[in-house]
Amino acid sequence: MAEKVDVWQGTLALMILKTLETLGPLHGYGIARRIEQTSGDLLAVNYGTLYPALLKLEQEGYVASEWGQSDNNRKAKYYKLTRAGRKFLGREERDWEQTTAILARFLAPGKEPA
Amino acid sequence: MKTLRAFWLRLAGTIHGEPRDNFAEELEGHLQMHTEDNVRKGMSATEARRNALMKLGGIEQTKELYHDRQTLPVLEVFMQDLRYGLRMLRKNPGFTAVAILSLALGIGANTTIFTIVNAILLNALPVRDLPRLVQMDTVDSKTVVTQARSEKLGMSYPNFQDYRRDNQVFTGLAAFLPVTVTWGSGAEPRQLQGELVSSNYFDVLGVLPVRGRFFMPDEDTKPNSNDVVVLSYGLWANKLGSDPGIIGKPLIFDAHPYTVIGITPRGFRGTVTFFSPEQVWIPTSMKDQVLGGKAKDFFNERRFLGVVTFGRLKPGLEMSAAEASLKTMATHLETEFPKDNMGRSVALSPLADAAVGVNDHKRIALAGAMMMGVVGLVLLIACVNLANLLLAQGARRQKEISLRAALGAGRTRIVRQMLTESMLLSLAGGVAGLAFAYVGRSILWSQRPPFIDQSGIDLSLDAHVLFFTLGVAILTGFIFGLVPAVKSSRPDIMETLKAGGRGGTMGWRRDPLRSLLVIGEMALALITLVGAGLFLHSLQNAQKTNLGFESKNLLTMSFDLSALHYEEGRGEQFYRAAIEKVKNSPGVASGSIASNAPINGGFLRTVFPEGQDETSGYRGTLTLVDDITPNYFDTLRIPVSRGRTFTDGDRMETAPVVIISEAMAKEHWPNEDAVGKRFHFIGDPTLRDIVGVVANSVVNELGEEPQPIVYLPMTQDYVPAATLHVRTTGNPENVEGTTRAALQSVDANLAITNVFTIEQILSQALWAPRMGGLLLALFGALALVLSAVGVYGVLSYSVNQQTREIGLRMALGAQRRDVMRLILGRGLLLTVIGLGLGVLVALGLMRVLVSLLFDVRAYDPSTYAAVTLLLTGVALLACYIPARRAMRVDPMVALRYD
Repeated sequence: MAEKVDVWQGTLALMILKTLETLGPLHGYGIARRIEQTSGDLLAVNYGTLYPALLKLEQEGYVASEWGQSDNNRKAKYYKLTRAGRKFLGREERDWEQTTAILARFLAPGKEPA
Repeated sequence: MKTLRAFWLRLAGTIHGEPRDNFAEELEGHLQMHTEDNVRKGMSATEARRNALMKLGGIEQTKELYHDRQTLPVLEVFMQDLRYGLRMLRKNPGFTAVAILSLALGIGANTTIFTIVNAILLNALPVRDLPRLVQMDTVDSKTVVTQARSEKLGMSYPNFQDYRRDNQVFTGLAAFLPVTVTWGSGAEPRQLQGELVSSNYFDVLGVLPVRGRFFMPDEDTKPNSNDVVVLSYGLWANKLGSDPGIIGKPLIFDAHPYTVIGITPRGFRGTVTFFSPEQVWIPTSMKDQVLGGKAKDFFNERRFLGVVTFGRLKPGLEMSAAEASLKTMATHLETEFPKDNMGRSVALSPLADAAVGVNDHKRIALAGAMMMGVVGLVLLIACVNLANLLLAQGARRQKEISLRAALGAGRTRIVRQMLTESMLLSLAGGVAGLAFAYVGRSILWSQRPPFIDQSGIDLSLDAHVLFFTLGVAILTGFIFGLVPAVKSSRPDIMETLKAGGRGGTMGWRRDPLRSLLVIGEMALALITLVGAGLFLHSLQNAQKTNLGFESKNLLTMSFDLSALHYEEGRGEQFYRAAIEKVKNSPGVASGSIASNAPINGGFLRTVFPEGQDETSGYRGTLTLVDDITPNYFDTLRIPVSRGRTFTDGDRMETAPVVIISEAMAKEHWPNEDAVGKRFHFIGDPTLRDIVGVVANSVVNELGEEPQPIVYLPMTQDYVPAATLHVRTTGNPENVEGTTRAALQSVDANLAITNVFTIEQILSQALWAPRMGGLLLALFGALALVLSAVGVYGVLSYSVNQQTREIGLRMALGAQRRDVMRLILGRGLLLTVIGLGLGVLVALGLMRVLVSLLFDVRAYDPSTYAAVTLLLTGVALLACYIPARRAMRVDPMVALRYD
């Protein structure tokens, strides 16, 4: 159970950072919507888990936040990627690709060299 | 890095309590945006809001998750426990005060003793990789040694040179020899501690100079060359104003100029714990300049154990293996030089142990362990008391704890809460204990004898001491807190309900834990008090010791004529002139000069009674020698039992004569008259006539066995380093100035040291046992009071708990006497069991400590009887008060109480 949560949180952080990289500064709701759109209903269970994840990234210095105006003139907190965040994202992306590549080879045993 | 940054932010969040409104606002914005989107998709306003909330997963839940991330939940729970604990302690100020005070006394005692142990035993020498350094000593299986604790005997310089050259076990073997040198001349000559050392001394220790250099490998080889000196940091800083240009400058020691070549690191004072931080090191090649008397004459003799040696073991080599290899070398040296080495081998000891004296380490460590043990026991008693108080409190708090459990607090949470409270108590006790230790240390320090000043023993509350105190405080909190915490976290709901939360019958069988506490406490108190009693008894005996000489109105001062490079004739002339001058000064009854200062040991030589020599298989008896001027026994008031004393007629050219102590007469001529017998020293065939026998006197330490002593006339065996003994008619302090002046009027360049009255010498000799006795008495009293309080607490609690039972018994016809007997009987039964147990343990423990006792047996019946009686009496009193209260229980009130 705990491991699943860890995996989920790690993935969630990666998705948040990627979203911010792609779309630029964005508020929590926007990030949630974007992740929901791209990942199907993975996040549909709970938007709430996003905020502790954002806080963690902010504490670690990968994202920064400031208050601003939303499209329809609401006060909203905007998150943006920091330089450290950008570097971290690059690293994580490479790791992730490597992991998935290995897993893909593993899960397709037919293609494994004998 | 990132994790650390996050940790600090969360810690800050926990402490400052980040405003949650910020996040509430952010969430509200999120919900509104989501709701608007939903409405746009065609939902009704209510449905849109509800859907947004559902997707979020609840406002409060999200806030909670956010908060957990914002802060450190573990720490937050701890802070809660802390606040709660502080509140509980404030609510019970009486309990809190008693607890902190008893802990402070217990921990303070531990810290005080640890401060001393730390300074003397744990104060590791500031050298490289100390565990690899070992001291190498001679052990002699043939020569009879009459002195206690002399099994390891140092090393002879020629043997050292052979070991140094041929050994297979050391990366380096060094030698040193403690000396005193006179620094400067004229108006203010003063003596300094120093060491003659082999050139590799600092290399073997792995110490580097902070200024200049240390000795070159060949600087100890050519006799009377290389007049160079290394100064200790302390000497350089305190006496030379840290002169930055000191290297290369000349300093005068024993009227000879030495070039300063280096300064040792701060805190380095050689390999001996009790040595001064102000010291000098001179290569052994300069020995003829620095040494005088027999140490100089015999230095190069293979038989003469004049130096101390230590080496660094080769990497990976065990001390035992090295010793075996060296012992093989020793047998070769024995065959090669049978006359000098017969019966002699070597033994290794860790240099760290040898630092307090290679033959004393065991005793000092044992004394340290004993003192730590005693204060540990005192603290244990305090812990037992507190555990008991907490148990009683836990019983009273049963309702509160049940309520908390009912509200969902898990057992670990409750135990943690209770432990937090005991930790708070023990840490507060630790802080107060440090304050006690500070005061205790200052008192000990103010009572120190002068020699501690010179030795630079550092009794400061350093980091080791602080860590020790913290550790003890935490351990203490666990010891007294854990059992009550676990016990009260498991409330027996049925029992509590039945008894209406007050407890009905709490008989001993139903409450074995508390009975055990009383038993344990009594046993601990008995052990502590027996220890204290035995040592006080021993101290009393030591103080009553007959010194063998008159211990009033005696003044002594020491000097060393070899520093002035007097030859023998001039030295003897000096002695005669000095005694003449001193004798004629006002307030002086008589004066005499001897090579040994009072109660300060002396030179040992091997004695062979006439008719026996090395060839007979007997290797002689190591005996203390003292060279004296004729009126010595007169001045010291040592009674002459047989024969005569020395006179001016005993001269170099007349027959060699000696006087011996009764112990020596008994050793060699047990049933004969020793006067008229003769003996010779090893390596010297001159037979000396025994012309007199004098009473035994104390020479090494108070409480020693009577020592065999050989007295030689100074005129037939000149010694340049000596002590003037002055018998005064009044207060010896009054003649100190005139005596000094008298000595220096004979030679103004004479440095005078160790000016002491006999009272000062005695108080120094008795300082350690007296301090030990005083501390033990204090700790014993503390143990007594604490355990009395403990027994009283347990019994009165139990009487309170049994009020109903007692009332019932009385209603059913029990007399007040019966009730009294019941309570007293229970209390006494536990006391007797505890004391019995304590006696058994004490008998075992004291057997180990008996070597520290002077003339007291470990099972000294009077001490045991007195302590048992005392404790029984105190326990009886402690039981009597609650028993009387029980006796006065009004059956009607007691039964109606609920």
